[in-house]
Formats: sequence, C-alpha cells, structure tokens
Amino acid sequence: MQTLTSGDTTLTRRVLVVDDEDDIREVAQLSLEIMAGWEVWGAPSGKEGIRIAETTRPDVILLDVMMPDMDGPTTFRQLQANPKTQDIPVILLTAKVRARLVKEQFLPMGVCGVITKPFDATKLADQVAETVGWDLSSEGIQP
Amino acid sequence: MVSTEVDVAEVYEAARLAALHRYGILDTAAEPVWDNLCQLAAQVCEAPIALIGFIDQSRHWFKATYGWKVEALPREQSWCAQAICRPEPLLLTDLDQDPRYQEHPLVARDPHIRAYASQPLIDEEGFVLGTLSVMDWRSRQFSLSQLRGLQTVAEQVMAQLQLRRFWQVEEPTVYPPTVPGSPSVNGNQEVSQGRKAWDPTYPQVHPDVRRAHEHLYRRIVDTAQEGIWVLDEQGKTCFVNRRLGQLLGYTAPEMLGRSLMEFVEPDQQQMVERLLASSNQFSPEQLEICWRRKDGSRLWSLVSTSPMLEAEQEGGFLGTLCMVIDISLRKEAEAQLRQVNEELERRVEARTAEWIQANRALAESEERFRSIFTEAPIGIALIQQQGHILTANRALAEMLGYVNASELVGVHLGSLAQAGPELTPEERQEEQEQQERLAQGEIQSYRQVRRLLRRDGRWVWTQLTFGRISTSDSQAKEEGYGLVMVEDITERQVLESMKDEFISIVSHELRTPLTSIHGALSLMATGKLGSLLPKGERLLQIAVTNTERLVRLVNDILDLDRIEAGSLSMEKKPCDAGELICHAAETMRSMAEQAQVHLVTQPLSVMVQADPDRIIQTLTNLLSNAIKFSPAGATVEVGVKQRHAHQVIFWVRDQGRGIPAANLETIFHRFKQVDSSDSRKKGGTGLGLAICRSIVRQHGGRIWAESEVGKGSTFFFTLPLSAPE
Repeated sequence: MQTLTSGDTTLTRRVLVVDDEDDIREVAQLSLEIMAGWEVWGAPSGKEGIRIAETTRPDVILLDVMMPDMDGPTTFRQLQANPKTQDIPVILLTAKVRARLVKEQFLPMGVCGVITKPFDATKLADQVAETVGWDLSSEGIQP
Repeated sequence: MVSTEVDVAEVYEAARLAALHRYGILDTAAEPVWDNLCQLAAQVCEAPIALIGFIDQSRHWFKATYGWKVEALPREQSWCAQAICRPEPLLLTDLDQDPRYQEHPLVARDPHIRAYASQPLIDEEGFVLGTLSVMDWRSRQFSLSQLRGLQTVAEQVMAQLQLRRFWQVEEPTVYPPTVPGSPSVNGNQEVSQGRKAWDPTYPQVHPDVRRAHEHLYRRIVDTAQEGIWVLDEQGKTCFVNRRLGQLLGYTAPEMLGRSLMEFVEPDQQQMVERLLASSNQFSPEQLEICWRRKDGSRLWSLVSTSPMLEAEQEGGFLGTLCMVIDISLRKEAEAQLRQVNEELERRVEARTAEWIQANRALAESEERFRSIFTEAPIGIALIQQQGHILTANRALAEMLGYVNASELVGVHLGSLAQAGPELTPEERQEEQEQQERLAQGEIQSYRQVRRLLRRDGRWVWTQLTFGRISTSDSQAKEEGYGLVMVEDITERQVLESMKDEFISIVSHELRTPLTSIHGALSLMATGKLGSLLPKGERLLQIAVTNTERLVRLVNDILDLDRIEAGSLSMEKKPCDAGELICHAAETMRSMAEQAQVHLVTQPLSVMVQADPDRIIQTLTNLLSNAIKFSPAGATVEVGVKQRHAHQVIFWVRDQGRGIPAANLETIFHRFKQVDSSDSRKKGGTGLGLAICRSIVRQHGGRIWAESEVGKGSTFFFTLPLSAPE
C-alpha cells in the first residue's frame, strides 16, 4: 500500500465507495487500492455509507445512484445536511444513459461529478482524481 | 380481202338456205292455192307462162307452174338466181337479140323465151327465197300495171308461204305404237278406242280445219315445258311429248307401249300405283315421283294426273294424262337446304355442347379459385388504386373483427393502417417508390408491417404483401387494382417483443456480473498484483478480451433496445455537420493508424438538427466498420454535403471487399453480418449497423449502403437540415 504526501505530511487518499452491488463495490475498492494505492472503505447502503463517512471522514465518496431502500440522491442530500459530512466531495456513479440527466440534476446541487457505469477498473482512480481535481502525477502515485 | 367477201357471201347464202328450209316448201306436192296464184300472175301479165319457184343450193325448184310443165331448173340456168343477189324485179326483153342470153337454154331451146319478168319472193328477214316469174315466147314489153300486178301476186305468194309455215307439220313423234297406219283398219279394238279422244282425226271434220287444229295442238304439245305422258287404261304409254323424252332420256318409240311402272325407282312404285288407282277412280292427283332415267340417274318430278274420259259417253275411262314437271332442281335445292340445316343443327348442337362443357369447366375453375380465395387462411383483398377494398375474403374479415367479408367492401385499407414507429418522410417516399415500381411491373411485390385497426377498436399486427395483378381485363388495367395479402403477425410480433424483452432482461442481468468480471480481470492484467507465468498471462488476456467483447455486446443490445423503445430520446439541437465528422474522425484516428488506413474527411460546415453524441456514435460505428474491412494502405473517406433544401447526406466510403447486393438491406438487421465469422474476427457485435439505423430513423433520416463487391462500399445516411432561425 502506497502512501501519499500532503504538504509535509505523508497522506493516503481515503475513499468511500457506496454501492449495493457487492461485487461492483469490491472491484471498485480493489481498483482504487491497486491502481492508486488509496485507502478505501466500502458501504453496501446509503445508511451504512453515511455512518462510515461520519466516522472516517474520507476525502471523497463514490455514491451509486440506483440503490434499494435509500438511493444515491437521498443519501447525498443527507450527507449534505450532516455537518460532519457536508464538506466531503461526492461523485455519483450512474449508468451511462442516465449520466446526462443526473449531471443536469445534481451538479447544481453540489455534486462534485458523475462517473458512468460500467467503469473501467484500470482507469477508475484516474477518473476520480480528475473529477475531484487531484494531480496524481505530482502526487507521485503513478508508478 | 377477197376471201372475206367470199366468206360473207357464203354466210349469207347459208343463212338464206336455212330460212328457206324452215318453210319446208321444197319438194312438196302441188297445191291448188299455189297453182291459182301462178295462173293469176300469168293472166295479170298476159303471159303464156308463169312460175313460182324457190332457189336452193343447186336448183330452181318450182312449186307451181302455168303454161310450161317444169319441175326444176339447174340453178346456173336460172335468171332468178340473179335475184338472190339483187332483190328487185328483173325485166328481160328481146332475149334473142341479147348476146348474153343467145346461148341460154331457155332462149335457144324450148320454150324459146323472148321476154321475161320476175318479182323476188322476199321473206320477213329480207332473204330472197325465190321468184314469181312470167315468160313469153314473143318479144314484148310489160306494162307498168302488169308489173305492179305481178308484184301484188308475189306478195300473195309470200303470204301463202308464211301461212304455210304457221301450220307446218313436223315429223310425227307418236302414233299408234302398235299399229302404224290408219287406226280404222287396225284390228286392235282397245287402241282404236283409246285414240278416239285425242286423235285429231276424230271426229271427222273438214280436212283443212282438222289439219289446222292438228298443227296447233301439235305445236302446243311439242313446245310445252311440261312432259306430257298419255297412258291407256292399263297404264301403258300411248303418247309422250318431246319434253318427256328429254326428261327421261328416252326417245318416244322406246317408251311407247311400256308401263309407267317400268320407269320408276323401285321405292316409288307404290306412289305410281296410287296415281293410277286414283286416275281409275276418275280423280285427279298430284304427287312427287322419282323416275329412273335411261342412263340410270334419278329424276324428281311433280306429276299431275287427270283421268281421260270418253267425251260423249259419260264415265268411260280411256286412260290417264300425266303432266310431268321437272323438280330436280327444287329437290336438289331442298336436299341441300336440308343438308345445310342438318349441318347447322349439328354445329349448333356441337357448339352448345362445347359451350356447356366450357361453362361447366369455367364454373368449376371459378369455384376452385373462389374457394382458394374465400377459404385461404391468409387475408386476401383486391384493392383499387386509391386503396379501397373491392373484395375481401373471410380470413381478412375475421382478422379485422368483421362478421362478413362483404362489410369490408369499400373500406379504405390505408385508413385502417398504422405503422409501428412513425414513418420518416424518407420511408414514406420509399414506400411510394415501391408502389410505383409495382405498378410499372418492375417488382412483383413489396411488404409492409402495419398495425390494422380492428372493428372493436383493438389493433392487430399484420404483414401486408402488395402484389400486382396481371390481367387481360382492360378495365382492371385502367383502374389498376391490386392484390394485398394480409398476415396476422400479432403472435409473431408478441414473440418478437418477448424475445427483445428477454434479451433486454438477460443483458441487464448480465451487465453487473460482467462488469465485475471485467474489472477484476483487467485489474489482474495490470500486473500490479504480481506477475503470472506466460501461459497464465495468455489465459488472462483471452479472458479479458472476451469479457470486453461481451461487455460491448451487452451494452450494444441495451443501447439498441433503449433507442428502439424510444426510452433513449434524442437530444436534437442545431449542430455543425462538419464538426461532427471531424470529431468522429478524430475518435477513430488511432484505430485507422493501427490498421494503416488513410482517413480522409470532407467536412462541410452546415447546420443539422441532430443529437451530436448519437450522430458521432453513428459515424464512428460506420468508420469502425470501414476501417475494419479495409486492407492496409487503403483510404476511408467520410464526408457530408447538402442533398437538397431540407437535407444533408453523410457518407463513409471504403475500399474494402464490398457487400453482395443481396445483403445490402439485411446488414442493418440485428446480428446480420455478411459473414457470420466476422463478429469473431473483427470483434463486432453484429449490432452496430442496427444501432446506426435506429439512431438515423430517430432523426427522421434514412440509412443505406451501396457497394460493388471487390471495390468497396459506401454507407449513406441523411439528416434534416436545421431549420433556419
């Protein structure tokens, strides 16, 4: 596991992936760990996601739009409403065909960005970094 | 010329002689009338000799003489011979002084003629038949009145001659067949009795009157057009006239004494018996009888009989008079007529039979075809050019919820129809073209899939096949009606949509595990988890490649599904066609370079109304295909130009292997690649062109391909121009 430096402090980017599909979530987790060396948590539901976010305060949250019980947008609104989590950037994960609609609807509401599914496991970290605005090359994470 | 004159004279002389012979005067016995006229001429002229003579070919023959007994003179001795050539009176005096006649026998010898006067005997036709001459053995003159007297007597001579011809007797054709000669001396009582009624010699009258009557009757009998046949009371022939002889081909003597029965056809004998029997009963009869002629031929005649009765003894039966009229012509005509009639009847009968036969065959054939039409399990209708139904069958009526097929007559088929997805103007035009091509006979049929409105308001999915009717019926040609076959494909359509739905669900369900597999494999393939043995690497690569392909396939299926379902709406907005092309070309640049294909763009800056992402997708799809099927070093060209006022046309041209004409349409169907191995070799999903077509259709455009095998293909699609602001 590689570490990242932020300023003088060596930091590891910490990411929370919220998706009800276990395999997809796990692939995403592994993808980010393997490709970028980030620290990644996974949550199978919006509720669990909020709980982990509160406690771990990740650098970014990847949030699937389509979920049973509590869907992505609801989870996002709750994160926004929570003082502990309201500053954490959120990237929505959505099916390609709905990407435009989702963008139009949620970017104005403060969503950091939208990544379409299915994602390319080898490029997901790049996409996240680009969306959030991290310079991965300067961070020296690229091998 | 001389010969001609001679000929004329000969002809004239022949005619004159014929005329003379017709009078039958030559060599007849002396008659008192003639003798008297001769004497009168002598007395008028106070001459001792008078002669009435006729000149035939060799002599001057005298009918009557006075004062000099002479029968005839050689023609060359006769002064009268001159009269033949010169039909005028001749007067010769002082003959002993005249050198021309000094040696003339009549002058030099007895009767020593010294003076001569003659008057020609000229008949009605102008022929000089002879002369009336007076002679004297003294030298003398004739006074004018004497010569006029001579002329008058000559006229009387001619009158006598004409009279004679009128009563002329010809050779007898008859007469007591058994007894020539006088009947009074004949012992045969019956015959003599039988002759009494018709024998002109009975009863005895003055010989002159008798002769006159006899001649008159003879002429009537001989010139009659009817055959006259007189039978005795036993039916034996006593008399036949000339005409009857002619009719039966016998001479009179051959027939005389023979029974009537001998001359009839065997099958006619009964008729003849009837004739004779009725005559015996004194009643006239008229029958058609067929005779057998001497030469064996048959003669049809109408025979009228009348019994001959004794004139003075009431009731005495003498025999039968038969009048025979030739009716063979009539019979023949009748027979011909009968034959013609029979022939006509036969023909009419034959034609009638033929007609009945043909009619029955026609009816059967019509019945057969009608039943094909009515009973066919597929809907069939005849439609007019405008689309109104002329006739429909039961299957169509049932399909559309009508009780009776006749209810559909006059219904406009088009008004019942609705295309599934809205037809684009291009498709409408294409349909129109197909209709016209069908009408022109360029194609035999074309198909449409349409929803038809049932009577109960529900819809039925149908496939319509329009066909042309080739007919000799000019009205049909003029009105141009056609055939349409209607197939209920609702079930098929339901199956189709079930299949689509199934594919859609399967694809959707496949997507999540596939994404996971793909993600996992691709992460492993990065090598960041440690390296594998080369064979393990290879296996991993195979797994990645095929997973990628599966992902593409699933994505394409879902994509197509959504576009066709309309759930993926096109975000149409004005955009620059040239930019779309450049964008698509840029996307494909690296693929082209990899394949060593030159990518050429011909962009035109023109605004179209389109969803840019989707049009780029279409163009990249087409470019991807073009590059895939191009050999290294070939050129792929992509361009756009304005087609007409409302439309632009895009094209992607390659120099690949081309597409067979038969496949030009089907390549746009799902999973219809020209070569099914292509999906493996070229990595396509078989859905790219189907997606392109869906996208283009959603834009109201049309997509098609043109190709020449071995030279390359060009794909075209049209888009509407952006409406000007």
